[in-house]
Amino acid sequence: MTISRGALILVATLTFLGHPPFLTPARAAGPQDRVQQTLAAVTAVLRDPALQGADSQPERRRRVRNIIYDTFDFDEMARESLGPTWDRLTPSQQEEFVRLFGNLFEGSYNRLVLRFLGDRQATYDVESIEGNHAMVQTTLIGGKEERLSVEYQLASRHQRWGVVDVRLDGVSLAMNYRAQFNKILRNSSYDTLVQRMRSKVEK
Amino acid sequence: MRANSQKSWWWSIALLIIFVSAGPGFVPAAGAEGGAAGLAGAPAGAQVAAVTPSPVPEETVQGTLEGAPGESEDYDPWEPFNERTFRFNWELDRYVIKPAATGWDTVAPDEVQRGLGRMFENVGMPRRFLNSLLQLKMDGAGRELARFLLNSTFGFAGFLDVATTAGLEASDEDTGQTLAVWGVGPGPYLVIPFLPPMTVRDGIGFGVDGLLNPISYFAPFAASAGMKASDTVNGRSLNLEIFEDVEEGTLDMYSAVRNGYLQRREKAIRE
Repeated sequence: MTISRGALILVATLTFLGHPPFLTPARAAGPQDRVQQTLAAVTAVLRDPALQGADSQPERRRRVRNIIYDTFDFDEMARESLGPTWDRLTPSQQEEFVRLFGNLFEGSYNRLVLRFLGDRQATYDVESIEGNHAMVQTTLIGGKEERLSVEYQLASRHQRWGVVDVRLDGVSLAMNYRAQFNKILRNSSYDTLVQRMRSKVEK
Repeated sequence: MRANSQKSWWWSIALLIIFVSAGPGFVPAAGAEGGAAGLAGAPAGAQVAAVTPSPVPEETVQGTLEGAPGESEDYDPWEPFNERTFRFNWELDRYVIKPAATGWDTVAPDEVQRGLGRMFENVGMPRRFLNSLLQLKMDGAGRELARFLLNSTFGFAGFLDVATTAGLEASDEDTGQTLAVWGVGPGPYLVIPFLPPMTVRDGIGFGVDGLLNPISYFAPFAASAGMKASDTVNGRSLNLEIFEDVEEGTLDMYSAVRNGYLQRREKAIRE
């Protein structure tokens, strides 16, 4: 039995419709894409004419915070920063610590990096991926030879890249906070640490 | 001239005494990056055992962290002394240096501040040149020499950085980094009054670097000290805002500064 041309066309068409490229799930953004999208979104907020001035500062801050919280994996960062102490916390304590840590880290990152995005150009220098970990090297270039080297460490969880650390001129913010937490835990207690974090965040 | 070089020499002797008394805290580490191993990654057991006497209990050095013991705990067996000295330096900064820097920042345009900073940097060429050679970084040594010649002439004694415009990037080698590359361990973290934080290895390097400062051979001690103070105030004025930004997000300033310093040194040694 010969197969008619019409039947072949029909089969091919049905096959195509069954696996249409335009219905294929979009590929998850790579590490550099994630960083680039984040910085572009923050830059857009900082440069938005409708959000300029002191009165718009709270709204500006809120939008930037939402962008950061969408990109940074604060659950993972908070757990890593606390080490074995994390396992001794109750779920509600862990939840509170993640919230406090996220606020603290986001505040530092905002002050030390994001604040300058509005009037600086970001260049993307290097991207390296090893398994579920990646590094994206960027430079913020401002006027008058000002350069700020910012390195993002990312980890992939649930097929999504999230930032787990930021290095400024070689100094890891996450490691730095870890060192601070260690000292406070060693010399005082977890409660003292939380107390200090609350004071800092709620200031 | 002789008095200045003698002072630097005695300082180096003093740090050498600390070096010796710290004993095997300077166990040479394997490999070029061995010197950096002690900064944040060396096994706590080796570090604690090496420094005698050490009142620091093992769990303090190991910390409360998972992973390799001491992996995230900075090596600081002299923490009580260091922290007291750090507080003194912090108060000095708060009540003397910062007000002076703020005043200077008010009267001096940014370009003047940067230009002065570059002039002080220019004078530090012998240190960078010699240590680049000692680390066999010939490219860096060549660049430093070329930068010095260009900036000293066309750059008005370094006020303008024409060398960078010409594509000659600066390097920043010092004796502490050279010792690290040669395999000398960092030793304990050390805070000395009136000085920036350092490890004992970097402290020895700092003393040697003083001998490489040409100003100390030509200027009276008071003038040399005055220039150093001016450099400190000028440098502080260029970093007023970033200091405040860092302070605002910090829970424990002492450990934050210690960790930041050690991380930066590790990076500088690796580069």
